Amino acid sequence: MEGPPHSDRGTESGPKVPSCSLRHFACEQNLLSRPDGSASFLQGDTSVLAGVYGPAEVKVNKEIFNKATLEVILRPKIGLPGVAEKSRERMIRNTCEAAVLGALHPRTSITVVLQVVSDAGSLLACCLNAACMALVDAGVPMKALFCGITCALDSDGTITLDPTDKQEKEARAVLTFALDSVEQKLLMSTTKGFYSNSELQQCLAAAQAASQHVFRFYRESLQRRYSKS
Amino acid sequence: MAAGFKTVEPLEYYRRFLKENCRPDGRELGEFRTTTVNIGSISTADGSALVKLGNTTVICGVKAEFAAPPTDAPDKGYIVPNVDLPPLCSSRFRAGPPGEEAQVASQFIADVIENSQIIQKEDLCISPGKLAWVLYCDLICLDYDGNILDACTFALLAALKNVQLPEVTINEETALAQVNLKKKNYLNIRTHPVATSFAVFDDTLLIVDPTGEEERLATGTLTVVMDEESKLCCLHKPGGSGLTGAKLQDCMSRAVTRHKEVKKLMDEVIKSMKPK
Repeated sequence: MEGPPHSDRGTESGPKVPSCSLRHFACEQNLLSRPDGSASFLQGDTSVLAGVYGPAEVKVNKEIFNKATLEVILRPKIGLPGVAEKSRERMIRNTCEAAVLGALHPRTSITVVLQVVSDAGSLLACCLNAACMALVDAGVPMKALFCGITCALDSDGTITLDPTDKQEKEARAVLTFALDSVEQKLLMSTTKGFYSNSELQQCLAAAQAASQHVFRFYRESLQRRYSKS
Repeated sequence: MAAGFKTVEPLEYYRRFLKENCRPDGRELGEFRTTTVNIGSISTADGSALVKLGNTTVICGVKAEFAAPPTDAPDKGYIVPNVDLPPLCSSRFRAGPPGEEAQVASQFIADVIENSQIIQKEDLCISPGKLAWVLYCDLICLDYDGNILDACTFALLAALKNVQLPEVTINEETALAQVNLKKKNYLNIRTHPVATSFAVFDDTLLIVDPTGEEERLATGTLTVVMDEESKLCCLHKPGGSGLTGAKLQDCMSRAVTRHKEVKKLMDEVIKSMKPK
């Protein structure tokens, strides 16, 4: 079902606590003509473009007999992809594998290509959100949606969600989580800096609360897209 | 007969063991394999350590060289880790440029060094803006049987504790560095990060220290790097099945016990080395 490129503005979501407000979201789907699914996700000034090809043919040496082979390619904005990109690709791939129903398409390949358009903080979370929206746009069967949330902890323990580049640099620790939409379970986590166990639990709770806003935004943006056409 | 069943249905075979709360090699779900560490085995390196976690063997060699400090941080040195998974350690690795597993492990070790502040980079500076030490840490896996991240972190820590740097003075007249090989100092290791890895099974069960086969059958992995005072440096969960907050708490408590075990082992080894 090819709808016309539909641009959806996200609402500025803000829970009761002022320091835990997420930046302005925006998502555009089906903007590229070649990939089976594509999405562009904006969080504040951070923007990532994702394209999904699949389920498509897979090379014999890469095929898995009972499920789909997922591949993620992450291209940085400048320079050649390095070791850090490989590490992020592995994390995004494993997160997608946990959400995608690969068993329905054995011996096929699903490729997610992510291009960083601008980086102003919370990059990995934005990549995860873009990948999820692109997978939905491509019609890949999934058992749950997932979203990425970044938390920054500064020296006195205040939690800032969806930090900007400047806030990330000044923070004592930056934690990125990927949560699923069914039970807000922790799918992926990667952290920078040091923190205590109780701070981790607080950040996780704050991220789970914030993920509700992101999932509501997904739902609204899809409702709007399909209600027009 | 059991071997036949294991080949045909490895997951079912494994589940039978998990139902009895144990594993094919006889361990409990929360038990680590026997850990052994050997320090100072490479005489040509400035510091070295060999760690064996069951069958998984990782050797770390640290070499120190001179370099000019970075222009944006003239009072800092460098620590450059590199994890190599050669075809020797397992049949799944091919010769050639580092594969994804090796790159992910290298990035993980670099993150651990950065996050835990194991060495203050300022300690590596000899003369601000002119000369600094660069420590090349090469971790090579000799035998891959799962849980490579724990073994690498431990090997790195042990090797760094073993590094002795000679004293360097800058001669004012010639502006050249003079190295006094007779006088060597140990590095100032500020923290002791210890990694504990878990594998998630069937979305519910958590087992500690997975072997190579268990890693292949697992639906997800989790690595927790803990410091003294139960401070977390890294919570590395590269996707896989979801975990609730309660399960995470169990992992944390296991990581705290593991940290104590490893610290005790390290202290024993260092103590036995001192007379040298």
